[in-house]
Formats: sequence, structure tokens, C-alpha cells
Amino acid sequence: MTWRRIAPWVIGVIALVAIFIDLPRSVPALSGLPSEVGGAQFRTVLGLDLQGGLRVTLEVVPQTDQEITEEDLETARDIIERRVAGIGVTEPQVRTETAGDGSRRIVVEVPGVSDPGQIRELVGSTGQLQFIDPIGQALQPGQDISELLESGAIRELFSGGEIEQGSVAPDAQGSQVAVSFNLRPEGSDIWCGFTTANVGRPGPIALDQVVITTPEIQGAICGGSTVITIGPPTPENEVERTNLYNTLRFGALPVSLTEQGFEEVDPTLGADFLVQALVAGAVGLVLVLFFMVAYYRLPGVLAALALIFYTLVVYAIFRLIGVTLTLAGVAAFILSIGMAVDANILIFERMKEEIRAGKSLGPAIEAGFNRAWSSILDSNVSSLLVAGWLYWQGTTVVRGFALVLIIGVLVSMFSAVTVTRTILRYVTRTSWGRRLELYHVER
Amino acid sequence: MYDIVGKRNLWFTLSALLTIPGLIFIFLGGLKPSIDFTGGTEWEVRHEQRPSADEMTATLAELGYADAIVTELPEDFLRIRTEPIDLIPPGGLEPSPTAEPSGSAAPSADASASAAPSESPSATGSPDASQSGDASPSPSAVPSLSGSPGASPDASPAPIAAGTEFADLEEELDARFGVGEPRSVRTVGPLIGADLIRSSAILIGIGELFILLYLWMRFGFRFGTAAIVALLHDVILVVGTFAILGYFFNLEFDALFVSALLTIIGFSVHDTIVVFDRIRENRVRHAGESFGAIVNHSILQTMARSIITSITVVVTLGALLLLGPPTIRTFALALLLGVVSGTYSSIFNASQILVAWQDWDTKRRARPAS
Repeated sequence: MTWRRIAPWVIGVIALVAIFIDLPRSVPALSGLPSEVGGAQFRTVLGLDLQGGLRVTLEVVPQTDQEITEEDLETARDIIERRVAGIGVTEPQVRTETAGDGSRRIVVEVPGVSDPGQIRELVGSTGQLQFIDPIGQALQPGQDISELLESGAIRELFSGGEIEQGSVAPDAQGSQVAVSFNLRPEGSDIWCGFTTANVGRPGPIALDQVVITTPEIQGAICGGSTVITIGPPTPENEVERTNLYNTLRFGALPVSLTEQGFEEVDPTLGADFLVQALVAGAVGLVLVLFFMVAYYRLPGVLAALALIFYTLVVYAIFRLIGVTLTLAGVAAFILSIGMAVDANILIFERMKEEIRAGKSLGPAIEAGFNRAWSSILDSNVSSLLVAGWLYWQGTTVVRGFALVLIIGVLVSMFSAVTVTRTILRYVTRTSWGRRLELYHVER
Repeated sequence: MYDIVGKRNLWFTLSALLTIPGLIFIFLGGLKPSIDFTGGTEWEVRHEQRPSADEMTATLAELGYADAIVTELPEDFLRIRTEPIDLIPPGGLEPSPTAEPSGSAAPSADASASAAPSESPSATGSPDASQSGDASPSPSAVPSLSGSPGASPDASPAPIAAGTEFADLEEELDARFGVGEPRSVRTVGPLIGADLIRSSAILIGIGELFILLYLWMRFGFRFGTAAIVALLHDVILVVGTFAILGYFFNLEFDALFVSALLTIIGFSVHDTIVVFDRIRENRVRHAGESFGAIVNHSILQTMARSIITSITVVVTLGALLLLGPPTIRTFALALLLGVVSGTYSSIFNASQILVAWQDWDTKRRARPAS
């Protein structure tokens, strides 16, 4: 009884909040509205296929004897994000994924890119740094040492992962340009032992098994702090320093990556798709509204109101929790409009049946809602099972679709049942609302 | 009252006629997986001279892409599909990525460097010298692992080849057909494709299993099984139709098709549940009547709802199919087929299977008694 009383208020408040969230801030007249309340931002996040941009999928390749930990993956993700953000791209998204066979991936999404090649190279460079013990071999910069490493003629001391995060910096030694960095304790111990035994000999550093520099060890380096001096500040040496700095700083990926896919969508094509999808959605929505009113008359009008409520609320939820709307997501949204009225149809058909069976309007309405409920519940639970499973297991594209479907099903259960029922109760209290011909029942 | 149940052999025959051609074409290899599954590179481009698909295919073959597939699209765009090209291989990129972008992005590297010095270089700068000084007495002898000047010229030219195959190809094509404006480029590596096939099969299989378990729980063994058979009918019909369209019109199915199939699974069960729910209710209410009569009632009572719900979904999907973006059309088509088939199969398959099963059961029980 109390719920019956507060239901209209709850529905009204939800509708108003949804409208407030939905209103586009880009329209000049509405730009004054806050787009953030209490830390929650209202914004429509469009997927790459709708706003254009670049997506690169990288597969994590475990090295021999390497156990890839979540921490490694997170570090790699972080490094890639900084690399991409470093060239001034807006809102790059870098996330980790688990593939069906358990292998791990890093997915980089950069909206509205101007130079895809640059970003792919930035991202795709796996940048495995190795500190090398040449064991007497003379190594040249640029030399591929993969075979030497394999045969054991030279060996890896430790990987770039031993470079302390954020410790790499351009440096100067008197008038000489240099790069300095710190090592973590473990690497530092090895480094100390190696450099002590090899003063005056080269201590090569390799990136992806290609030697990048062969500096000469001037003295034992214990304690981790290391400085690589390049030479006098000539323009070439400055460039060399920047390269070395970048390699040491960003090349220290704890895992090795291979590019497994990329996708590039022209922003104008994405915009076209968005418009087409919205037009299709609007046409679909209007047709369904029209059909419901034409077929069910008064209850159809209420179902139409409930459907508008549904659309407003679902879109508001998308904006509130930042659901990334891809083309598949928009399609799921449009599909869910068609499905959302299903509960209403079940109820109304049942209601008509009860009226035909001789019940008067009030009891017929209540019976319609009560009897249809088990069908509504069962069918929606089955949809939720499938959508939940899709969300749990699916790839990114599939997940977006599944999330939209889940939100749609949950909201539709509320809108089709509670909203319609509440308004119908009000309407049947009026004298005109009880006229049977408004319910389109053929006896 | 219309007798649907009595004609069930007709419905079973009709369903067989609807699904068997599809099955045949599935076995004939009619299903054409998109690069989502096979791996490959696909791009859409319009060149100044608007070459035809044949001209483009010939040119690509000349350039070494013999198995390229070229499709003509509206507005003179061409869709070109080849083996995966231009993936950056593992360890194939050496210093060039770090060297090249940093060359162009030198100011930004400097900016981040100047941001950093405040905290780190001071830590690495002079304290450095004193720290490592404990090992080697003279500060000038601090590990000035002096980089040889030869490092950069040697390092950069070597590995440039990586990551430019596609650019080279674009250049070649531009030279022959005038400047091209690509509007989308996509490459899927073989690993991802193989993974998608595996995970899709698992998704669909386990998705159906979930439904089966839920239906068994809610309606019992017989109803649950009948619903799943109807479901298989819908899935086979949709996949079969795609096999036929793939065989004759090269229609491809992509990653979204898997989502569509799963949605169909959920939706088709909607309809079946509504009918079954009514059968369950009527069994209690009309306990005296034969099972066949009860099913017939229930179907007729729920028919209006089934058809109207289908209409609303068909309307929205139809709008998407006719007006929506081209990339989503196969998705909409799959859903449309599935929804119509789902409504059909819940009435003409799932319920009829229940009756047939019941009949068979009564006969089987009657036999040993007689």
C-alpha cells in the first residue's frame, strides 16, 4: 500500500533526473547546466567505430621461463599509456584483456588520430631492454645479438625491468651530455658484480636483442645509480641523448608484445554511422509507439509513455556510468526498444482476455499484471543469463553489446511493469478512464 | 477453434524444409568468415580514377597480393581484403620506434624531461656521483659508460622496413589510380582470429547450456529439452541462411554475428517461455482435457502476444536493416531472421514436440499393459 503511494513520486523523480542527465550540454542554451554532480560526470562515450580513431591490439608473448604477473601487465599498460599520452593525443585508452585461451592482450584505443603510423610504431615497439655481459665478445651498436644470446656466447645480466620506474633522466657530467638512471636492488647487485670485474671494458645495452649502445665501464657501479655519458653537447649527441633517454625510460617494458591487430576508422565515416544509427533508432521507436497506441488505444498510450521513460532512463544510465557506445551497443539499444514493450504486450493481452472472460476492468487489470508476471520474469531472466554470460566471457566489442542489453532488460522490467501499472491505476480512477472502448476489447 | 496441434507433422515437415537447405550449404562451405575469424587486412578506399574491382584485383596481383578480394561498394568505394599485412612482428622493431617518434616529438620529450628534473635528476645527478663514488674514488670516473658516437647512425637505418608495407602498397596504388582516400583500415592477426573462433563456440555452447539448465529448473526436463530443440532450429535456420547467402553472394559473418546468435538464443526462449508458462497454467485449470487440447488452447491464447511482440521487434530491426549503417546490416539481418524463426518455432516446434513426446510416452506405457 505504501509503495502504491510513493511509486508515482519515485517514477517522477527518476524521470526528471534522467532528463537532467540526458540533456545535451553542447546545445548553447543548455551549456549552463552542470555536466558533473558530486563527482559523477554525464557524458556520452562513443566507441571507436562511431567517433573514428585507431585501435591496436597487442598480444603478450611470454619469454622462456617467464611468468607474466598482473603487475607486469599493469606496468606495461602504464608505460604504453604514457608513451601515447606523451605525444599529446587526447584520451587514449589502454586496457588489458584476457583472450579465450587465457593469453593476455593489451588494447590501445586512440580516438581521432592524425598519424596512425606514428602511434602504431610507438605502441608496437616492444622495447625489451637487456643489459648484456659480452663475455669478451666485441659488440657493435646495431648488431643483432639474438643468435649470440641463444648460443650462450654472451648473456643477459638483467632486463630493463630492473630500471627503477621514473629514475631515468637526462643528465650532464661537466660539459658532457649524459643520461642517468637507478637500478632496483636485484639488478644493482648483479650490475655491481659485473662492473667491478669489467672496468675498462664495454657494458652493452640491447633493445629487442639489438645492441643500442656499448658504453665503456669507467669504474665499479655499486648502489644502482648509473650515468651514461655520451659526449660533448653537439646536436648529434643531444639527439643521441634523447633517444637513449626515451629508450631507457619507455623501453623498459616488463613483457614482450606483438601486434595482433589494428583498426582505423575515419572520423567522418564514424559520424555518418552514428547519424544513420540514430535515424534508424528514432524511426524504430516512433513506429513502435505508433503501433502500440493504434493497437491497444489507452493502454497503448501508457505503454508508449513507459517506453519513452525507458529510453530516457537507459540513455541516462549510459551517460552516468560511461558506457562506451559502439555501433553494436546502439544496435542493442534499438533492439531493446522493441523488446521492452514485450512485457506490456503480455500484460495487455492478458488484461483483454480477463475482460473477455467477464471480469470488470479493475480486477482485469490487476489479474493482467499478476498473471503475466511469471512469464515476464522467466523470459527476462533467460535474457539476463545469456547477456551476463556474454559480458563475462566476451571480447570488448561483444561486452559493450552485452552491457547495453543487461541495462535494457533491467530497466524495461521496471518501466513496463511499475510505470505502466502506476499510471494505469491513476487513469482508471477517472470516469473517462473506465470506458471500455478505450481498451479495444473485441467481445 | 483452429487445430494447430493436430497438424504437427505438417509443421515438422515445414521446419525440416526450412533448415535442411541451410545445413547442406553449411557443409558445402557456404559460411564465409570475415577477417575477424580468419585474420587478414581489409580496407575501404576510393581512388581518384575510380578503378573497378577487376582492375584493382589485377593490379594487386601484379604487386604480389594474388589472393586479394575486391568488392565494389556504393559511392565508388572499394573494399579490399588481403592476407594480414603490416603487422609489427615480435622483436622486429628495434630502436627505430623510439628513435623516430622521439625525433619528431623531441620537444615533448624535452618537456617531460624538464618536468622530471625537479625530482629525479637531482637525485641521480650529483648524489649519484657521491653514491657511486664510494666504489670508484674519483667523481669523474663515475660510470661514464661513454656511448660511442657511432651508435645512432648504426642503429636507426637498419630496422626501418617494419611497419611500412601498407604505406608502400598505398603509394603504389595511388601512383596507378590517383590519390586514394581510405576511410577504414583493419588488420586482424591470425592469433586473434583463431581465438575468436574458439571463444565464439564456447560462448554459444555454454550460453545454450545456461538456458537449458534454467528451463529444466523452472519447467522440468521435458519442457526444457523441447525449448532447446526449438532453439537449435532457430540457430540452424539463421546460420544456414547465412551459409546460403555466403555461398551465392559472399555474405560474410563477423564477430557481431556471434552476439546476434546469442541474442537470438535469449529472445527465442522468451517466446517459448510465454507459451510454456500458459501450458503450465492451463494444465492446472483444465485438468480434465487432453494434453494436446491444452497445448492448442495455450498456443491460441498466446498467439496474439507472440505475433505482436514479433512485430515490434521486426519494426525496430527493419529500421536498422534499411536505414542503419552498412556495417551493422548483417547483424540486423541475423537478428531479424532469428526473431521471426523464434516466434515460429515456439508455436510450431517447441509446443508440438511436447505433444509428440506425450503421445509417444502414453503409447509406450500402454503397450506393456495391453
